[in-house]
Amino acid sequence: MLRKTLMLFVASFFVFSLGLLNLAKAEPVVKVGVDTTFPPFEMEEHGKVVGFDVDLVNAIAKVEGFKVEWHTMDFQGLIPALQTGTIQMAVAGMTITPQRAQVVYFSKPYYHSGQSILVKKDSPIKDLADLKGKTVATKLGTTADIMLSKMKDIKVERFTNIDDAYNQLQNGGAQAVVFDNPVNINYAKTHKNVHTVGKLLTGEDYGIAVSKQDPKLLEKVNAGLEKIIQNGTYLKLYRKYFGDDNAGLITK
Amino acid sequence: MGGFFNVIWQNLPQLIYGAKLTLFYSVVVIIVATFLGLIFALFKISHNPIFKKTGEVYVHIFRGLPLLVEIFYIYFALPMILPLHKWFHPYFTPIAGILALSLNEGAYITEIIRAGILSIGKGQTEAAYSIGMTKYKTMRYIILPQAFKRMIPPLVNQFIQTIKDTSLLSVISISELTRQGQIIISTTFASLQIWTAVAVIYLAMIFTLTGISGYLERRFKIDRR
Repeated sequence: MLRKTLMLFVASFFVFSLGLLNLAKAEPVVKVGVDTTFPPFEMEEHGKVVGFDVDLVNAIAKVEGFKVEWHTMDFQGLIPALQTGTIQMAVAGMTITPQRAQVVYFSKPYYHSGQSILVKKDSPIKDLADLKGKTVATKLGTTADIMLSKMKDIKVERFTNIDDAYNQLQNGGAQAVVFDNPVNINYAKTHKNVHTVGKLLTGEDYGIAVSKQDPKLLEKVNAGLEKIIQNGTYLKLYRKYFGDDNAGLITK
Repeated sequence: MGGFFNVIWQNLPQLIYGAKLTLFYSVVVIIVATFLGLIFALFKISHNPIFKKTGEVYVHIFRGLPLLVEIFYIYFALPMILPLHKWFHPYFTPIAGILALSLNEGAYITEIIRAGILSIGKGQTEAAYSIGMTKYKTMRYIILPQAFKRMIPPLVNQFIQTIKDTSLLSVISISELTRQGQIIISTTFASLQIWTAVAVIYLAMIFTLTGISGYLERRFKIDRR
């Protein structure tokens, strides 16, 4: 009996210390929320999460020494998830706004963007003023939604996914889509019957959102972002996804 | 503590607007679905093979698909082959929502009405025929009124389900109560307060319907055979 108890004690001590060792050696895991319906910033290909934002966060994680666990969810659910601590970070082409900054932290900007109007090639709509009296589709909870909601005489249809908004344009339910310019451009590349019109509306910066429960993580993200801008990784990633179009480039 | 609930009062008009839309869609769908249910129930108990088959196919399809899929199909799939947005401009969104919900609820109501009718003993029908009543008169004056009493509890159940199912219309951008909740939260980030307010409003609506149903049951004395 004494022998058995002794062996049990030694075995559990062994397992326990192995566990401790693992804990000490393992990199912290950060849960990052992402909405993979926002090409070319985040998409899903063959079950894997890919895109500019994804590569960006992976590069920052590598240089700051933490592991990333990707959690896909709807865009409108990202900030609530950060508020409850379900995820520690979120990256989703998310514009830094004062309202959002009240409930989450934002990293320094990593991309400069703006909204644009997408219409069918035979549409009479040429700029923002022409949207009066029309039906415009966009994505729920985004800065496009916020901007359109403030305008008068426009019927706004809000969808959970931007694909549904694009479909609405294609089948005639909406006469235009207003959304982040890079995503519109990306869509127009593969759909020859639409194009963007008018000049770039609003000027907005994308930031990585960090849960307010984790201020240390914010410091790491900003430090990592700074490092990859300095060592050229950021520029390399930018060129990979946006080529020579410098509109979104953050210049320091 | 009042500051915590402020966001509810500030957005109450929007929530009420959503609740009104929820009520609107619920009432319209209940009416259309009951109408459909009555027609297809009579089809299913008909001796005519074409009517019978039509009724069976209708119930199989619309009970056999998730409501969300039915909504997506009518709203996103069909417009790709038919210019539905042009035909019904600018009402295709509400029409699609009402259609999808009514077809789905109608399939369940078909079965409720059919069960109610079949539960009335053959003796009633035979007695009616023996004094020279036509099939129509029998159904209209003898069978259906008696069946109706039996159908009240399951029908009210289905009507409550309909109110809840209207929340799925949020996915085709119909601004009913659930969607209003999502919209308000997307700018205020007050998930706890807003979802609580939405839940309370739904409970109030369904509680009222249950109260009406209790009144109907007492009025028609359905606990007495």
